[in-house]
Amino acid sequence: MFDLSKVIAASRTLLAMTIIFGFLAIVPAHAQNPDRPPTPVTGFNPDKAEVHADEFKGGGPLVGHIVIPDQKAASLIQDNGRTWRDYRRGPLLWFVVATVPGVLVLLLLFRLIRGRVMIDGGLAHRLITRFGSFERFMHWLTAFSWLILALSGLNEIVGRRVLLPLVGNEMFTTLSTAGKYAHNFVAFPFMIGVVLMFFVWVRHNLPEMRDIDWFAQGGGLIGAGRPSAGKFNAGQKMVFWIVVLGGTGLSLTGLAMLFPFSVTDIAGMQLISVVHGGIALLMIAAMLGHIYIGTVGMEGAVEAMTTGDVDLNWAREHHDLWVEEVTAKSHPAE
Amino acid sequence: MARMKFLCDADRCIECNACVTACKNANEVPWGINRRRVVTINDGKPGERSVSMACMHCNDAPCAAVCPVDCFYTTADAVVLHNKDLCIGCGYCFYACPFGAPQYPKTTNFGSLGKMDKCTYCSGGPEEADGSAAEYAKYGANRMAEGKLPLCAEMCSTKSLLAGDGEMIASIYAERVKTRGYSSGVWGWNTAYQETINV
Amino acid sequence: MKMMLLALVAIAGISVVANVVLEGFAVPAVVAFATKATRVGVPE
Repeated sequence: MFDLSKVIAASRTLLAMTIIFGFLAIVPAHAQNPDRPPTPVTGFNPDKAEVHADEFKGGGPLVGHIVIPDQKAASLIQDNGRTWRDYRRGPLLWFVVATVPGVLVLLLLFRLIRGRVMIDGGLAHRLITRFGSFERFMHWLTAFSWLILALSGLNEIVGRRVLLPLVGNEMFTTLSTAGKYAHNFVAFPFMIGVVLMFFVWVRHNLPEMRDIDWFAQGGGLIGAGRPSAGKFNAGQKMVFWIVVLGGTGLSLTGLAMLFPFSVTDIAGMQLISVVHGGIALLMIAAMLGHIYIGTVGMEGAVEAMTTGDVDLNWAREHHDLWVEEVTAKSHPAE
Repeated sequence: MARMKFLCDADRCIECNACVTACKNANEVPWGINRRRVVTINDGKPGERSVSMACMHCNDAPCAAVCPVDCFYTTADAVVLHNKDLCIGCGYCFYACPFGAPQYPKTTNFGSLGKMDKCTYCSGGPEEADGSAAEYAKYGANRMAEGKLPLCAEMCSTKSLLAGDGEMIASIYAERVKTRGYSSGVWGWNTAYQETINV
Repeated sequence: MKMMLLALVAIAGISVVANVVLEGFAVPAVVAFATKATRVGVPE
């Protein structure tokens, strides 16, 4: 039988117990901290874990909601920036020391030990055309552009430590502003030059079996070997590919930096700047060697790019197969 | 000497944006430049927190470290400022700053970002005359020279944004945490000052 | 030698053109952000 009085009694007991236990639940909180207000209506007091405060410590950005249109502002904290800062004032500076003064010292040692590379048979005083006008034009378009880019780029990295103490803040800002514009705009003739070089010279720069021999015999620079070579020897082919591939890498990263945040976010921009600097420094090291051997390092070399006509003995010693090809073309009967 | 800092109590911030409005008004900040902004984490979900963020005036400021022309300087109150006449607008300080404080008048083209602008802790700039019209036009208000604190903190409706001597505001915050019994953490304090507040 | 000078002239000329073109991409913050204002409270 259904007994109403027992139900009512049970309900009263249940209600009383709820009130007592509910009260007991609050009292301990008061006992810990008498100043703390009672548990709010929702019964929910969020703490650090609730807001995932530790999640962002991995370095990536902690992003929230904002009411302004610039979405970059939605990132509350990004720790990668400080890592980038540490790289720029630490390892990057050592990288510069290794690639610029470091390579110059190596070249100096090479000059002291090996001396200037001379033509064995002496000058023939007869000339052969090595590079035409357009080849020389595009080489200098690229080379002079590269020089301006390398110097302005180095100023961005180390100018503050190397040049600023010498000229003072105002002059340094003027020079750096000019350097920044030069770097941005001269990038374009550089890119055009690299593209031209690629299309005009790629067929002479494909790797061949004789390139291994060239390296094995020290390229005519180290040891007494005089390995055969075509229009471009293996060392020059390396320079070609460093310029084309390195130049392409620099162009792509550089374009991304010319239009910040157009292709990637801040972590991407930081990475791009590191890659751009890394390729640039390696290229500077390579070009210092190329410039040395192409100018003061070797007798008979520089004329190839200034006048275009080189001494026949020099050509026979360093590019014998090319001399044969060219003379066969112009004197088919011989 | 007082070491000035900012502290935003995320458990009190109600996202009213009074700090943003005060800063924009006091410094005549152009539209599109956001010296101070309010970021809301977990918007609409339990544990939603809002934080008012501008330049934190860090110890060993990353912006100053990466600047190619060394245009930053620190005042006696440990406020991190920069010289707009020396700035070349390269944008590196923005990449380095953990808080996204540096702002630029132009966007999209690296070469023409313009002179960087950021929260000055209402301390103006390096022009000789504190509070002069020239200083105001370039850098905004110089309240510190008048012995006043930044307007954003003064205008905060819930007193969640605190500005002043670091030890003093840290102790105010610690007292609050003790009273209410919980804390969601002081966003950015450790990143900026390499220390934690004992709560 | 002539080609070297011609290259320098080309660098200068291309740089000037690049300058003019790039400036066209520089957008004042007012324009860049004012036209994309979000409305408060409207979920994305």
